[in-house]
Amino acid sequence: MDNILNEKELIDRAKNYDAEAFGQLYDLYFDKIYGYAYYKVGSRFDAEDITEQVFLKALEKISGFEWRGVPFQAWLFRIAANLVNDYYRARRYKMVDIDDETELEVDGGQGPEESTIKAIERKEVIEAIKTLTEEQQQVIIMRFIAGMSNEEVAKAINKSVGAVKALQHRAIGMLGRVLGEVYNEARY
Amino acid sequence: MKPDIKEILDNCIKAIESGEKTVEECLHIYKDRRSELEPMLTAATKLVNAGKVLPFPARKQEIRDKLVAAADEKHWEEGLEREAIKKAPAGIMRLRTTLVRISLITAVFVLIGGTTLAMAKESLPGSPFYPVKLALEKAKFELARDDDTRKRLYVSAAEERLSELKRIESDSEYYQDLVLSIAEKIEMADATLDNEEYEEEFNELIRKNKDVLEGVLEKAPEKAKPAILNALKNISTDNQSERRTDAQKNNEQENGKDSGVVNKESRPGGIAKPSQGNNGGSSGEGARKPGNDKIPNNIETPKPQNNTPLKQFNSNDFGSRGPIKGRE
Repeated sequence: MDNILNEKELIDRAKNYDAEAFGQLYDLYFDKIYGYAYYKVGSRFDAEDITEQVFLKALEKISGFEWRGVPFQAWLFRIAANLVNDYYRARRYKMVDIDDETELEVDGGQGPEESTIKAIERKEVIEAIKTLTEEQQQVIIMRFIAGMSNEEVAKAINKSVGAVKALQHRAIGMLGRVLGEVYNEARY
Repeated sequence: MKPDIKEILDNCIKAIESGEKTVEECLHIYKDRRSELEPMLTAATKLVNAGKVLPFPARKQEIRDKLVAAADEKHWEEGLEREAIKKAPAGIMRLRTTLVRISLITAVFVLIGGTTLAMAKESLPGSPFYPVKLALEKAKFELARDDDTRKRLYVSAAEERLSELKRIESDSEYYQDLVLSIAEKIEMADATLDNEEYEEEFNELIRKNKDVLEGVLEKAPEKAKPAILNALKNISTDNQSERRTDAQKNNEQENGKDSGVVNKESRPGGIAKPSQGNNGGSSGEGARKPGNDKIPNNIETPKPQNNTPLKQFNSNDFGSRGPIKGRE
């Protein structure tokens, strides 16, 4: 409850372009938006650029943000989703080669070997996510990468909680098949 | 009734995420759905394990700094104007919106009559005509064709805000915003002037309003102080440079060394950038004329509290609406 109150206060201040309040909102949501952008585009550099654009766009539009409508987090994710769409439109749906990303992993406290294994697993997951529909991708990334609840995802993608659960079920079913194949190929 | 697989999956995922249960425990609970559930829970575990990807900390900080600076800039740009608009009647707000949208000074003259314009020109913060005045200023900035013109407009805007400040009470609710606006205009003009004529015009403005600026320092918001102090320091140093040059000339004449060469600093009204430290050892009596400087030479210009400059300048700043270049 306190968090919600604090967030509301921060947003009210940010609407008056209070730089400190905006900085705090950035601290609260940067990692989630960055994670979402990364799993959508598969490139750290592009994810950083998109995340930067999300917050600059939010700054530009925040005076029109209405607290009663969509929660702030959902609003940010909608901006992010639009920018990711723009990104693919600009690149004419050219998929990013994520091989180059492996060496850039910076997971804290891991040795290079562990880090590389993690990067390979992550690459498999990103490739598998790409086989999903747009809505399924949104649900999976928001639920598992951004750590959002079903209710939060529902608000961000403007669907009911039941619809989110159905999308999650179909998406995980598909991922189970795709990742299972990857697993079996690696095994034999 | 057979439980819905969507609900089972969701419950299992939540339990696994929270560490309440393992995959195997979930599969044991729903053993009649094991074949269906197992690949899905394995995939979900892979997703969770792939987990969070963290940005490079330096890049994250860099973007944060940029964002905070942009927010600060927006605050400066919009603050005073928005306050004025909030208090203006709806008709005036609509007029202001129209003015900004068309951004053409000629259209401004067509749309609003001469009387309204005259009233707007003389208006003070809090007046319903004040937003019109600010919109006109903004339109001029947007119409300025070159940097020189924009620089001159900054000086002119600073002069106008100073004039307004002199006409409102120091306990007015607009006082602080006005001081902030003055500091912003001063900083924008001061940081960009590279033309002797405009620089002198700017220094003259500061000289003329030295008492006013010194007077506001006590009540000025912290963010506004560096720009005001810096401008005062500049004119203070100018005065000292001129006095030092006079003293040097006197010495040279006394010593019969008058070469007839007039350097840049010795020209009346010439440009003298603030010098650091060395007074040349020839300050003599001329440097101690009474009543010359209330601002001491060794004044320390305070930094803004959040270490963010009032503005970050580059040549694209003029006439732009800030650094936001988001994709539309």
